Order: sequence, then C-alpha cells, then structure tokens
Amino acid sequence: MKNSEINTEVMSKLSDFEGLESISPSEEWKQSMSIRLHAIKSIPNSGLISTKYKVLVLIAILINAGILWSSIAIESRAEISKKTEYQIVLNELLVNPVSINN
Amino acid sequence: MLLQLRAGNQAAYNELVLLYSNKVMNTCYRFLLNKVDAEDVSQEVFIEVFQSIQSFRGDSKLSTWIYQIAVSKSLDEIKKRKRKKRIAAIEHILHLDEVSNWLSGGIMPDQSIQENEKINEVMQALDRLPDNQRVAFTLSKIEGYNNVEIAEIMNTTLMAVESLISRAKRKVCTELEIILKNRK
Repeated sequence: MKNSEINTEVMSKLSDFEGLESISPSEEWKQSMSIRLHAIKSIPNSGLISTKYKVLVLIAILINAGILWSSIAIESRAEISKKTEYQIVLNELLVNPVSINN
Repeated sequence: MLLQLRAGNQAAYNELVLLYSNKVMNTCYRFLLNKVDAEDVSQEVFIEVFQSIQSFRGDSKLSTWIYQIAVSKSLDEIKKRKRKKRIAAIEHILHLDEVSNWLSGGIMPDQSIQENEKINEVMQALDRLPDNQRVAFTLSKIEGYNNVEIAEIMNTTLMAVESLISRAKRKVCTELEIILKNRK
C-alpha cells in the first residue's frame, strides 16, 4: 500500500470521526434519570452526615471534659478536706501535750 | 440556580438536566464512541453533580465544572474498559473465556464497544495518546467547545491547549498510519 493511499485513508478516518453524528437524550433516559435523582434526594446528603458526626463528636468531647474537670475538682476538694483534717489532728496533738504539761 | 440546587429544589435539578444533558451526553459519546455507555456515564455525571453540589465552591462556571466531571467520568470508563480487555486477554490465554462467556450468557466484555466499525482505528489511535492530549483533541472535535472553554475545563492556558491539540493530531495521524499498515 502506497504512502499516499495510507494518508488518504488516515484523513478519511479522521473526517469520519469529526463527522460523527451527535446523540440526544431519549425519553427513557430522562425518565430513568429522574427516578435516580429522586432516589438520591431522599438519601441525606453526605455533607450533612459529616456535619452531624462533627457535632456528635464535639458533644462527646465536651461531656468527657466536663466529667474530667468535675472529678479533678472533687479530688482537690477531698485533698483540701484531708489537709484540714490533718491540721486539726496536728493541732490537737500539739495542743494536747502543752495542755498536759500545764 | 446554584442556590436553588444547593437548597435541593427539584425544579432546579430538572432544569439543570434539561440544560446540560445534550452536551454532557455528546461529550461522553465522543470519548466512549458507544451510545449505551455514553447514556450510562452521563447519568453518573449528573448524579455526581447533585451529590457534590454542596462542595462546589464556584471558582469556575457551573457548566465548566459539569463538563470536567463528564470528562473525568469518561476517562474512568475508558480505563475500566482497558482493564476488562486485559482480563479478557488473560482469560483467553488460560481458556477461561469459555467459562466466563457461559456465565455471562454469551456476551463478551468488549462486545458493546465495537459499535462503530468506521472509527474503530481512530479509537485505537486515541487509546495510545496521553490523557491530556486525548482530552484536548476529543473536546476540540465536539461542537460547542472552543479552545478557551477547553482550557477552562482542563484548568490550563489557551496556549497549552493549542499545543496539546496540534501534538495530538500529529500523534493520531502517525498511530493511524501504523494501524492501517499493520492491517493491510
């Protein structure tokens, strides 16, 4: 096959591709598209789902932080009360020997 | 329209499909060269549009964004076909094709692809192009796309698009010559 023949065929193939007729959506396609879109619309949006999850995680973090803070506060209060008790005992111990001596 | 779409307005959805379905379908068709596949992929395009409309930031035109999705979905479909072809070739070597043919009820995986015999060789030549050249060349052959719009879709400059198209043309011609010589 000569080069010129090949070139002609190449050009012909390219023009076949360029001249490809356009297609348009059929009624069937439009109907099935509408059904699929309707089905998608009834499913909650993924963006909204992630926002909901973010809010839930935030609430969980806040609850945990609250529990942690309150437990620390109770512990520190208990420590203070223990300290005061010790102080009282110590005072008693200190006072008592003096009073005994007197 | 964008606000209405984001709000989930059904009428806006229908209008969007009405406005863009023709061009989206023809874009997919030029890439896939098969009507049934083009119809399936264009539905996937609109579903993707509706699912991701909340994340569309409006940096580009809505139409450009939709055509970008159409191009990317079409390229994905082409990749899927190539994978299927490779699997079919392996099955043929291992004589598993008879089993899969029996399982699929007699339909071979790439049977639907061979729709237009006249442009079969062009399709083979296009398969040998890099993705960016293929996109630029194919879009330039679709009525309604100018080089400026192609540049927007490809997120590149006008000069780059012109260069891609001319390189693609040369490569397609060379590849077609090789294919036709081997066929004879």
